[in-house]
Amino acid sequence: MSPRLRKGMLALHIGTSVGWLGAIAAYIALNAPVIIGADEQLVRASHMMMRPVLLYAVIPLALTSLLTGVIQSLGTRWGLFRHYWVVISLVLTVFATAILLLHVPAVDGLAARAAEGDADPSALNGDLFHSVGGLLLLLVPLVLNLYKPKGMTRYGWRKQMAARL
Amino acid sequence: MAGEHGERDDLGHQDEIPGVPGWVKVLGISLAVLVVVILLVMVISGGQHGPGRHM
Repeated sequence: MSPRLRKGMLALHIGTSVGWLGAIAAYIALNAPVIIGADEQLVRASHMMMRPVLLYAVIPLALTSLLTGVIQSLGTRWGLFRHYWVVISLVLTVFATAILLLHVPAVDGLAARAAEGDADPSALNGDLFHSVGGLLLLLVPLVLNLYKPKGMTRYGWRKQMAARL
Repeated sequence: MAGEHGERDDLGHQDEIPGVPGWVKVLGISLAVLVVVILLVMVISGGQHGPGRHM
């Protein structure tokens, strides 16, 4: 990649990654009325809003962050499997994205239950576990990407040796 | 500076076969402990949640 393209991709990667965290924060905020539980209408509305926030903010940002991260790694000397911090970031991001996608039916179900006027409000218990868990998990790649701790994989070392020959 | 595994440059490139860095071991153990704790909480709370719920 040319330096200009690399910087552009990096800006896109940082923007979508931080945006992903922000979208999760918005999703967590939707759980506040559920925890407080004082207003049933607000609890229902919060559950119904979780679905669009998930589908149109969290998931697109997650997929774009993952894709730009992979492109960024492959397009630079860091590579995708050469350094432990890149490998661990990739594994955790793929894991978080997979759980996110697998969780969509559960959020669909919550939103559908919330939309039923005669549904039992006690069945609407929010979705804090996944959102807080996801946010905490994604802090690991964030820190790794900032500090880039040293540590080359055997694959990276072999590639390095081959390049020297 | 020469490290445990030989000379390194700014990208962490080194001359000797690399071992697993200490920070990777610490992170791996921490994540493994976290997973075990979460699984225990799920089991103790009645097993209402698991990967099957996402299928």
